[in-house]
Amino acid sequence: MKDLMDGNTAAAWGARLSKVKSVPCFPITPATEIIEVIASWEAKKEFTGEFYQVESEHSAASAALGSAMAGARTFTATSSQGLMLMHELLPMISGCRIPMVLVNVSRSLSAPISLWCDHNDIMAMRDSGWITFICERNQEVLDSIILGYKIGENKKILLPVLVNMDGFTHSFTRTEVDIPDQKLIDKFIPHQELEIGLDVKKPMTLGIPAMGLDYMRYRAQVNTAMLDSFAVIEEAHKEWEKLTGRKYDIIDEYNLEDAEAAIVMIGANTSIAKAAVKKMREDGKKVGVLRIRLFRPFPEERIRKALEKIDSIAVIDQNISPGIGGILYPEIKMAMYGTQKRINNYIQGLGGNFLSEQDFIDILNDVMKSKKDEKKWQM
Amino acid sequence: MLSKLIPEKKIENLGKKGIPYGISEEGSLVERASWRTFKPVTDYTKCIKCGMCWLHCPDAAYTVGKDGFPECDSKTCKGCLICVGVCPVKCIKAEQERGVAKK
Amino acid sequence: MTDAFNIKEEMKKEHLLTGGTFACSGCNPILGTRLVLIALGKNTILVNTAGCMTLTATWPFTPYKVPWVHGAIENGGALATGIYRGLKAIGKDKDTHVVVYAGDGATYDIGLQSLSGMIYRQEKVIYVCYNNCQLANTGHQKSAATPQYARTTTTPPPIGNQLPRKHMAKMMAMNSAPYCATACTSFPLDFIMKLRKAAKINGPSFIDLLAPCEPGWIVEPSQLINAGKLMVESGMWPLYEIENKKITINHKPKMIPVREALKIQGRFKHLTEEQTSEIQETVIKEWEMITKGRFWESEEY
Repeated sequence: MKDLMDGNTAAAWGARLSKVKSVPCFPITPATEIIEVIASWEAKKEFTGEFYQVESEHSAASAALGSAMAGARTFTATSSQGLMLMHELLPMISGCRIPMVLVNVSRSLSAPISLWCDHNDIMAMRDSGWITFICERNQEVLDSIILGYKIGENKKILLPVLVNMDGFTHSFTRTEVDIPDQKLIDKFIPHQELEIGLDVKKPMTLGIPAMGLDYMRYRAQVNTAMLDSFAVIEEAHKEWEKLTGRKYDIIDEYNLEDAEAAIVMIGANTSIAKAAVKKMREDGKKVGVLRIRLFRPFPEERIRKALEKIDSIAVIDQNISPGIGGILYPEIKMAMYGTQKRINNYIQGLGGNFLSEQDFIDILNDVMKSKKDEKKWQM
Repeated sequence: MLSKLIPEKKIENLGKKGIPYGISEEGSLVERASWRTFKPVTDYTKCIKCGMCWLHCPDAAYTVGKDGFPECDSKTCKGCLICVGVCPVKCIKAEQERGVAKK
Repeated sequence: MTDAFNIKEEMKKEHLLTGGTFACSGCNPILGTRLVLIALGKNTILVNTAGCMTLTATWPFTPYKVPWVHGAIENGGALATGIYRGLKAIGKDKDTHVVVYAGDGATYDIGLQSLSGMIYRQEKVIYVCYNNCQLANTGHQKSAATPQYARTTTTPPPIGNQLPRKHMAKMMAMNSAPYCATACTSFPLDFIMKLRKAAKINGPSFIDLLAPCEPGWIVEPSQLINAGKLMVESGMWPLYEIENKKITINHKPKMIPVREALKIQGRFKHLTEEQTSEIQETVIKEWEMITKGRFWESEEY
C-alpha cells in the first residue's frame, strides 16, 4: 500500500510493522513525531505494545536495555543531544549482546544550537559496537528498521542496530512510501525466544565485571560478530528483494563503472549529488557517486573495489572532527591505501545548509583539478 | 603464558556450548577461608535451633542439616563473627585460627 | 506467599545467594541482598547499580541463583522500568518481582532522576536502597545520605560533613509512591515483612535499608549488627512505614543516649561535645513531634 509520508512517519511504520512490544521514548526535535505517531496509534488501539515516555534519553536507553533483556522487541528514537546522553548505554547494550533498533534523526551537536542536519551525532557512535545503516530515502528508513530486527536478532549475530536518517531532509519531507503487507513482515521476522535474557526459569547474571584478558575475549566476540554480519546482511537483503522487489546493498554505486572522478558520501544529500552527476554526464564528464549505506561494520573491501579505477575521489563529510578534518575521510583513505589516487576532503553542510546541484558540480570540478590531496570547506 | 598474535578473522565468535557469550562453571565457589583469623565454633549441646546464625550470616555459610542444627561451612566463612554476637544463648565461640598482627 | 515468616521452614530452602563473594567480611549490604532473596524467593529479578554489590559477581563466578543484571550507576529505576514493561508486554509480569538493589550513592544523588521517574509512572518495582551512608565502593566518599558531622574521605575531620542528609523515604512518599519504609539489617524480620508487603502492592515501593559498613563506619565486623541496633534504639534511624501518606512507627526506640551509638563508630570519633549535644537535641525534638503525631513537621537527623 503506497502513501505520502515523511521520514518520521515512515520510521514509526517500520516499528509498527515489526510488531515492537516496547517503546520507551523521550521527545527531541527533529525526532519527536516518531513517538507522537506511535502514541496516536496506541490511543486508537492500533498499536498494542507498551508505549511509555520516560524522564530522559538516558532513561529511555536504559529502559530499552531492560525491556529487551526481558524478552520484548524494543524500539526507540532520538537525535543529537539525546543520542549523546544515551552514549553511556550504547556500548553496554552491544556488550551484553542485546538486539534492538534505535532510530537516530541526524541533527547538529550543540554548541551553538542548531536544529538542522549534520552527521556529527551518528559519527560519535561509530565505536559503540552497533551495526549502523545510514539511509538516503524515507522508504529506506522503513525498510532498514525491519531489516535491523532480522539481522540483529539472528542467533549468530545478536547485536543492536542503529538506523540513521537526516533531520528535516528526511524527517519533515513527504515522499511516496510503500507500506508492505503485515503478514509478509510477520513471516520475515517472527517473534523469537531470546538466547540471553532475564528469565526466572533460566537465571543468568548479565553485565558483570570482567577484567583484563576476560574483557578482551568479550570484546573480540563483539568484533567477530560484526565481521560475521556481512554475510547475514547480504542474505537479509536478498530475502527482502524477493519479498518486496526493493533491492538494497551495503554500498550504493551510481555511475561508477567508467568514472574518472567520484564523490563518496553518506545521507540524504546523496540524491542532490546524483542529480549533479546526471547533469555533468550530459555535458560529457565521466563522474559518479558512491554512497555508503552500511557504515559499521565498515565495508572496506567493497569500497576499494568500487573505487579501484577512479583517479579523483572527493570525500564529502557533513561532519567535522576539529583538528583532523572530516571523519569519513581517513576511513576512505585507509580503504584506498597503496593506490595512487587524488583523495580530497570537503567539509560541507555543517549546521544543515540546504545545498544545490551546483555545490556538488563545484566539488567534482575542484577534485579533478587538484595537484595534491587537500582539505577544503564549502561555506 | 605468552600472548599470541591472532589474525582478526580467526577469532571464534563462540563461547562454550556454541553460544556467543561466557558461561561460568555451575557450582563454582571461591574459597574465602584464608580471610579468617577467628572461626566460629558451635556448642551443639546448647544450640536451640533458633536459626539466628543462619539468618544473619552475610555469606550464607550456615546450612541446616536433617536434624535441624545449622552448620558453618568452613570454605565459605570469612570469620566476621556476626553469628557469635546474635546467638541468643551464646553457644557459638570464636576460636583463633591464625596469629593476629600486634599493634 | 504467606505473611508469617516461619524460620524453621525457610532454613530448609536452598540458598539463592551463595558465599564466596568479594564483599567485605561482615558486609551488611550483601546480608541485605540475602534477606531480599529469602523474603521474595526464586521469582525475583535483581537489578543492580554500580557500587559495592557490583563486584560480587565477577567473571567467571557468580553467587546469584536468580536473574541479575547490572546497568550503570544512575539508571536503576529506568532499567527496572524497562524490565517490568518488557515482561508485561510478553505477559510474564505476574508473580515475577522486579527488585532494584541500589546503594545510597546511586539513589540519593546521581540516580534520583530515574528513581523519581519510575515512581511517578507507578511501575510495579520494589526499590531497595542499601544505605551505608557513603559512596563506599570508590573508597568511602560522602553522599547525600551521609549524616551530619560524619567522617568520609571527602569530608575529613576536623570539619567532617557539614550538611544534614536527605530523607529519601519521605521524599518518595511525596513523589506519590504508595509504599515507603525505612529498615535496618539489624532488624531482619522487620525488613522481610516490609518486603513481602511491598511485593503485594500494585505499584512502586521504596525501602531505605540502613546497612552498616565496616571500613566506612570504622566498626569491627563482629559489632556491625550491634552498631545498626544502636542507631535505631538511640532514635537516629527511625523505623517507619508510609502507606499512602499514613505513618506507622514500627519500632519505638528506647532512646538510649546518642553518645552510645556514636562511640562505637570510628567515623564519629572526632566529634566535639557541642556537636554530640546538637545531635542529641535534634533526635529528642524529632521523636517528640513524631509521638505527638506530627511526623511531617518534625526535625530530621
